[in-house]
Amino acid sequence: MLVKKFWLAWVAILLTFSLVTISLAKDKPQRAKSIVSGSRGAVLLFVASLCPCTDAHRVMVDNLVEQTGPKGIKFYAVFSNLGETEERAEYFYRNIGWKMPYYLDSDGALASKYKATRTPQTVALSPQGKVLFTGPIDDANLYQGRVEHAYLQDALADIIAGKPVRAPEVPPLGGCWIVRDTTTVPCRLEK
Amino acid sequence: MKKTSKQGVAVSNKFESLLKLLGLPVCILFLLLSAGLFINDCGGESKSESLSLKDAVYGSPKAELSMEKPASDELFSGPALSVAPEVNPVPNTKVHEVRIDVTHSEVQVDSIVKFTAWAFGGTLPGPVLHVRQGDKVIFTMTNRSDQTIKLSPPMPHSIDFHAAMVNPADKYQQVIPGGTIKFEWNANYPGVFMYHCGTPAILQHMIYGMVGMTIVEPKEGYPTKVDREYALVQSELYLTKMKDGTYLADMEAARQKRATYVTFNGKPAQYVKNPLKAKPGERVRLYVLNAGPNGTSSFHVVGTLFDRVWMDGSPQNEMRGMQTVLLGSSNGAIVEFVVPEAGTYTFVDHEFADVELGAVGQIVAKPDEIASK
Repeated sequence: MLVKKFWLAWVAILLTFSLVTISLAKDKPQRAKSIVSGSRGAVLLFVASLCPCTDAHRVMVDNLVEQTGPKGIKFYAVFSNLGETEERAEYFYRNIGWKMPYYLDSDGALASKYKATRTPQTVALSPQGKVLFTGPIDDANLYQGRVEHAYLQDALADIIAGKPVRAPEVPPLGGCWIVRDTTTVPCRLEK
Repeated sequence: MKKTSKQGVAVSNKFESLLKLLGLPVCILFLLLSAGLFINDCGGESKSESLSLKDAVYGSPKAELSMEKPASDELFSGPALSVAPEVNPVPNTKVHEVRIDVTHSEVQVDSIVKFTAWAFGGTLPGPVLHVRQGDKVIFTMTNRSDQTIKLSPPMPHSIDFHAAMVNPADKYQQVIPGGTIKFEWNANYPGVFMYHCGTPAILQHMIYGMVGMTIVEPKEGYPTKVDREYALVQSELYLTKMKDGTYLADMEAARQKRATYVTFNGKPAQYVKNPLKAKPGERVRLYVLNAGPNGTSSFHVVGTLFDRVWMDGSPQNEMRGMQTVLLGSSNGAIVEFVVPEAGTYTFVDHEFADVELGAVGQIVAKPDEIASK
């Protein structure tokens, strides 16, 4: 009887431990080792852990993930700056509250492949990896939070509808610079 | 008695007739006078307001953006600027050329905690700008975040002067890393005002340290003379510790309004370790700004009373005999008091949770203290 109680207690402890571990892991952002497209495509969001320019798009991105996820679009946050770590990515996620997987672009390969120079900047890919859209999420940062052009939302609507993207390439609207080399920094006046 | 009464009735009847005759015009005149007084008090300009605002200037040339590099390594320049708690006298000129650059730098908050701040003029808070009502400020700011790329990524910054009346889309526009903005504004109103970075996410820029104080002295000067004056900017820090022992600003904590520190002039309890100074019997003026970004301040000095309080720093908003001044986020005030005798006068945000987080300092009054400049 005593032995049976002992084993039951052990099973209960192990079960509790596993549930706690699973729930903690669920809250932790998931690091992706590679980019896997959804059935309709993938969106890469280039971000930086210390860049304040992404916060204005927090809700817009959350809504897009929720609306387009079931329609086959998969989102990834991509950290391409020098010095980004898992800890920094988790810090960023804690602050912004997103749930999508993230990718540490430690060698900057994705940033250079898709010519990403700013954060936030987005690239929408077809399931075959073709670039369908590149540009900002929206223009909220220009108008103190008011969105006049929802670039990414419009592009995804076109992609899901199977239509050509109405504005496939929009230049970056400010944002932080992606820094890959601490000795040279681009410097030019832009509007 | 009866006769008197009849006479009285007759007089009364005549008076009533007179009143009926004059009643309507008198009433109209009375109403017009009352309305005039009411409009003068509530909506129109009082005599003193019209005197002080008669030279107000609205509008200024468009802001200039360039990639012009600063001529020196100085992060701020101009005689109207000082580092809090010091307040420089207003320079004897009507036009103030002022430069405050933005930089990212590591700031030691206390003996242990160091974090990467984004700072106006490299100081936390930014330098105190002191001008006089009616003066013009010609302001230049270079965003030097491209010079510190190992600390945080180069990013846009801007400045929003609460003391100015300008088109925000022009003067407060974002300046790219390495870029310079130059614009001018006129100090129309006297007061203690805030300035801060206005680039999204504004909360994030503010918790990284991008706040500061502008003092606009009334054109006619203050109605009182003081022996000593100090500037105190209250602000909150929201920090999270990283594995390498460094600290970063914590947006989630800021959104939840869970401050790590509440500080006067950027460091918790710094004026307990290094108190401000005064002499017994001196009259002290404190320029107080609650930069927030989230909390209120119930500013109080233990052991004295504020015999003058000018809310938002304008002598027209005067209160007397105040124990505590309640300042919402971005509100300022001038408080004046007499140091009654030798001793230690502790100043606090009387919301005592904030005292526990560092919103406390001291003024030590000694007879042998050197007089202020």
